[in-house]
Amino acid sequence: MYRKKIYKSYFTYPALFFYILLFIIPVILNFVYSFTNWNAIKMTGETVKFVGLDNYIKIFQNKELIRVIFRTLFFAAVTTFFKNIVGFLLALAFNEGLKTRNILRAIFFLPAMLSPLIIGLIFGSVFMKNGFANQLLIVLGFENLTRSWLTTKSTALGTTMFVEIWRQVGYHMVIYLAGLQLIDKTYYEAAAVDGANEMQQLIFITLPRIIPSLIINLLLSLSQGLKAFDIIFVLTGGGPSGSTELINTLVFREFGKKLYGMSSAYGVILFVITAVAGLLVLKLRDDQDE
Amino acid sequence: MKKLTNKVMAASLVVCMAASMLAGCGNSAPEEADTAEMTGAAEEADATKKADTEETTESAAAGEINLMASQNWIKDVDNELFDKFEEETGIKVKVSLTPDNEYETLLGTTLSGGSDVVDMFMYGAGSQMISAGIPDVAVDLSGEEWVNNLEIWAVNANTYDGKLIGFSTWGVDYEGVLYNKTYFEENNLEVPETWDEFMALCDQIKGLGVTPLYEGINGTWHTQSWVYAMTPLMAKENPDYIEYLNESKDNKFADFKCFRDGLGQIEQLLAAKEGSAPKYYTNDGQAEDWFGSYISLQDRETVMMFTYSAYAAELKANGCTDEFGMFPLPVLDNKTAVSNGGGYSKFINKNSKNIEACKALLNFLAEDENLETYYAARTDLVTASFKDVESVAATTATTDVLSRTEEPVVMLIKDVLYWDPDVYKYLQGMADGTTSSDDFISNVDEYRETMFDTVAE
Repeated sequence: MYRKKIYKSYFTYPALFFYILLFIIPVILNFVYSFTNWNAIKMTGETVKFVGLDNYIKIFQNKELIRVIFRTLFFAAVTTFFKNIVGFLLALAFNEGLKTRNILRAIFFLPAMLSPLIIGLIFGSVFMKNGFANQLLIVLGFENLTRSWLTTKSTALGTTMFVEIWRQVGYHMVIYLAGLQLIDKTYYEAAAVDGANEMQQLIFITLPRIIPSLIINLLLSLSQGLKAFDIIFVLTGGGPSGSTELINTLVFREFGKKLYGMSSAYGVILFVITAVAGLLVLKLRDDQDE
Repeated sequence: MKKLTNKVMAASLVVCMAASMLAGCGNSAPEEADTAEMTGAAEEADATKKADTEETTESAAAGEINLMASQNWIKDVDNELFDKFEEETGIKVKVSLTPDNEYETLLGTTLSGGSDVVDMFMYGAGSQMISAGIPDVAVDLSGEEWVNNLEIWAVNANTYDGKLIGFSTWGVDYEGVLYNKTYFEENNLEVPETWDEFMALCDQIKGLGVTPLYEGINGTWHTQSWVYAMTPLMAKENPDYIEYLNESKDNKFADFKCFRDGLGQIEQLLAAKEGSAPKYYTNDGQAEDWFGSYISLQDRETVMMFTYSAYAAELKANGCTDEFGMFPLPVLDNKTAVSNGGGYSKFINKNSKNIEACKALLNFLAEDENLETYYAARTDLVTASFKDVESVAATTATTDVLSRTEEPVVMLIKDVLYWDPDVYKYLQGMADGTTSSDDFISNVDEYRETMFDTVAE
């Protein structure tokens, strides 16, 4: 250990100061406000009064909330599953072999760099009544399948999931690619000499060594799924009739009603769910380590 | 030990990750900034920047007026007049625009605590300004010269407690069912006077191979207009319905038989299906489906829409050559149109250091020549708030609806406190069969109850 090369701890103080000021304090305030009736119903005179657990009681008396929580979990689970499966398959495909792999990597990563607003506007047009998706179906002879994908209750959530997966899959592909690049080639050479086929190499060499990338991707995609807001907001606004409403869009809606205390309480609930999901993934990693 | 440390570190990271979404909830400002970024409009981002106290205080001292408004309330002609005002007086008008959805939140933050961040701001006249507490922060303009030239409705809408506080250059518009008059004449269709006739008309139009109505039901604001169309019925059932509903949380919409019955008829229209698709209306299938109406009506994909009468001018400006008329929505055989009560007004912040400059601006805008310029450009306004303005032009739909209606009634949202912002969801639910009109009414009353309680606390 080269002790002289370790910087003094007070070098962290400025960063710590701003982190506490701009992040930790607002988070703590959010918890505090969730126990108040903070509102700005009268625009020129905001009210803040401690109301104990009233906000939480009202929230859990709301039948819609349970549906919204399950919908959020479902959204996060489905998008996490497909982002990882498709991302991993893309990473395998573009890891080596293809001459055009660098260009293809860039193409698949591109959506992750685009603003959700732009993506929302594009896909809003793609999935509208006379949009590209329906035109394509008509050309392919599936006219009976055409519909307004984002404004039909039965298809709206699935369509938003598709867009979210399309948007983020390249990002997860890059993380898997980084993991694949770290696997020593000699493992594959030795396995090939021993007569292992590609599937066996994938199962016994690639998959066990890609676990760290999987954990990171699971954490990130779960977090993205649970916190999804922008893409939903732009594509459907939570509709039709609440069928794509997630916890974060609900938080925004309560905020829009100027019920800030209630909105904070919804935020705390989402915080708890996200933290539990994250801890479960870490537990998975620890079990794997052991 | 190392493993335990790793675990603690990992757990802390997860907590921080989860907490990142809460950071925005602890304070309104970041939420607003996020939204501005998300909507992507540069002007919206500018609005946030412009709300800088220090800069505004400096600008006021330098002879500048900072005017805050929602993004659709300031038009090109406003900026032209502000430029002309600057040429004449040397006083610059800096306009801060914000997204429509965020305006109230931003304005509330801006005005709170006696701030002089903005010198002037815009807001809805009538009960909207009263319930938002605007009279507490607005300068009394009763003594200004231009007040004598205002139409009576504009005086009433901008007055509270005997003091006129708002300056309006908007206008009253009327709402009803816009119909393609040319198409109706070509196909010998009659304007309906009862609900049964209206439904029969819809079936008749369907028989001609056309979808009767364009209805932007996926958006958050439009379909609510059908509910406002029931205002004349409520006024008929109880002439003091506004006072009644505003008096107490115990006075409910559920107490109005006409509201329940009328909503039932609207439900009948919205929920009717042909296969899995709506029977009587269509839209472009986007979440924000308002703009699809221009093309739909222009191409005669649809021939009617519930909207405001100035919309006929918008269709004309969009290249539509058909003539449009309008009739009151005959829900429960109603024959009275509703009016919007007068639009948005300008108010002077009483904490501004620049009140005299603001008054000079209002005097300038109220000059005859400038009013004519303004209304000539505002083809979306069908009446003027000032007397004897010649350039304001009613549309064919305005003339038609006024010829068919008794004295129009101001729509209920302008007067009744605490209108549930989730009403659009209930209407979407009625259309897909998951919400009944009874659910609608109990939700609306429940929201009002919460608001009454919250304010009382």
